[in-house]
Order: sequence, then C-alpha cells, then structure tokens
Amino acid sequence: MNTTIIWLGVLAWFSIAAIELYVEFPHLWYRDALPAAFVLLMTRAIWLLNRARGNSLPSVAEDYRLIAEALRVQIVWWQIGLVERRHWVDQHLLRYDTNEFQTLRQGFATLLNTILYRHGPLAART
Amino acid sequence: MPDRPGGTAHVVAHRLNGWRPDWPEAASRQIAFASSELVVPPVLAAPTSGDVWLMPVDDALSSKVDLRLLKRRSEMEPAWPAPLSTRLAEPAAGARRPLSYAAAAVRRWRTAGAADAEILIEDGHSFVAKARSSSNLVRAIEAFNRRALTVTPRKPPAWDHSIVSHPTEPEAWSPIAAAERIMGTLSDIQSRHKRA
Repeated sequence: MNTTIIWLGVLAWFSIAAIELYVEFPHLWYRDALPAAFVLLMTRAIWLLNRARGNSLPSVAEDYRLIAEALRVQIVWWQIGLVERRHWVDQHLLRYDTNEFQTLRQGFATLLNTILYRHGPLAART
Repeated sequence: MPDRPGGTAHVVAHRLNGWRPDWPEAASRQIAFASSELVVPPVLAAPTSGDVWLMPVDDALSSKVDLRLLKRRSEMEPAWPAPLSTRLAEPAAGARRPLSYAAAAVRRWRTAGAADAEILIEDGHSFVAKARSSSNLVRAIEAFNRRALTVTPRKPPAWDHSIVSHPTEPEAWSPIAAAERIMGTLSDIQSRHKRA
C-alpha cells in the first residue's frame, strides 16, 4: 500500500510537470514528446490503481482492521465471562448502517460462529 | 414452514426476511426475548436479512438436491415464503422503447435459470463456482483464506496450552486462543499489504 501510494504520488507529480512544461515553455527541444509522456504516466497510474483495487488493498487496510479490532473487543468480553449470544460484538457493531457495513458485520458474525463451532466450548474455558 | 409452530422455521424466516414491522409475529418475538441464542435487535437497527443454506430433508428421497440456497429478501420484496412478483420480468404497459424490451429480455434470461442457480450440491456434485458467485461473504472469506496462506502462522499465545498439547485436534483448542491467532493473522496480512 505504501509503495503504491508513493508511486501514484510520483506519477501525479511528473504528469503535472509534463503539462506545465508543455504549456509554459514553448521552445523546449523535447516539448513535442511531453503529451506522449503525460499519456504514458497516466496509463501507468491507472494500471497501478487497478492493481491496487484488484488486490483489494483498501479492504485489507480498513475492513481487516475493523475485524481485528472487533475481535480484540470480543476476546476481552469472552475472557470476563460475557459469552451469551447477545454479548457478541456483532450484535452491537454497525447496527445502524446498511450495505457494505452489513456485509462486514455478517462476516464478523460468521467468523465468531466458525471459531465456536470448530473449537472447544467457550464457557468451560473462561 | 414459517407459518407453522417451530423455532427453526421462525429463525429461517427471520433470517431471510429481516426484522420487519409485520414480522416476526408476536409469539416468535416473545421466544426471541426468552432465548439465549436469538437476539432481538435494537429498535433503530437496520433490518438486515441474509441467505439461508438449506439441506432438504423432507424430500430427500424424491429429490437429489443436497444443498439449496434460499436468497435473502430485501425490504422492498414480499416476505418469504410469499413468491416474488414476476411482473418486473415483462416490459411496463405502454413502454415501447427498445431498451425496455432488452432489459425485460435480460431479466427473463436471468430468472429462467434462477431455480438451478439455487442448487449448490446435487446428486453428490458440488457447484463451487455457483456458491462463490452467490455470496459476497463467501468471496471475502475465500480471499482472506488465500491471503492467510501467504503469511507464517502465528505461535499460540503464551498463556494457552490447548493448542500446543493438541496440535492436530482443533476441537480441543481454546476458542479465545484461536481468536487471538486469527487476530494476529489479520495484522500480519495488513502489515504485508501495507508495504506493497
């Protein structure tokens, strides 16, 4: 993510420089190549952006963080004995939002169900 | 069937329809209040619904379907088990524009295979691609599993001995320790992608 952001910034900077040089300095010897350079830089930026989307970098950066933090809260609640279904974090998280947030909430509920179906009983180990 | 007494039927209907003003009926609302597994959502919570994966039992002998997907109903659609309106499959009365007919043809083509699209396992054959395309959640979980394979598994937490003493028996692991490992895996995936 960091490398992608840095590259996008560099490409944007060079694209603006290409346009400015083309407009402000009509006697440059390489002026005719600047529009092509601009197109190449933009193409590269779009490719980078598509790759970032394809790798779901935003969802890894934001959604995974949310799930990890919700899991952190759930672990503490389980440790202090709040083990009933109504004390699961998914019952309190993002209840008033719709669409993507509900997918996140249902994904988190699925994760909690998986943990409890696959591993030992919760109450006996708290 | 959700119109018959039975907790499972009400849970299925609640899952498919979401918590609506006319659903659930009073009896099931009281059951939910008394239950430790069912949770009555807050008054202002968004009425969410979800898909249900159904293993047909009643018609197991007559049908070869082993797993069927029941699609969630949105707020704008009639509550399950009422059938969905098929009027949208035809162009609106008076509509003469070619786009209307094209859209109606696409809708007819999509709904024609709807019954087949709901079958995920039939006669022992599983339709993995169909299952994957039927749910955003399945795709997100698969993506997480793929990413989890690219990072080194975390060691169990220092306070836990259930994983070390039963490494091949996940059912004996502490769920809290397992949750901590998953949390660590999420952080490791994030760290890896942060540098990308």
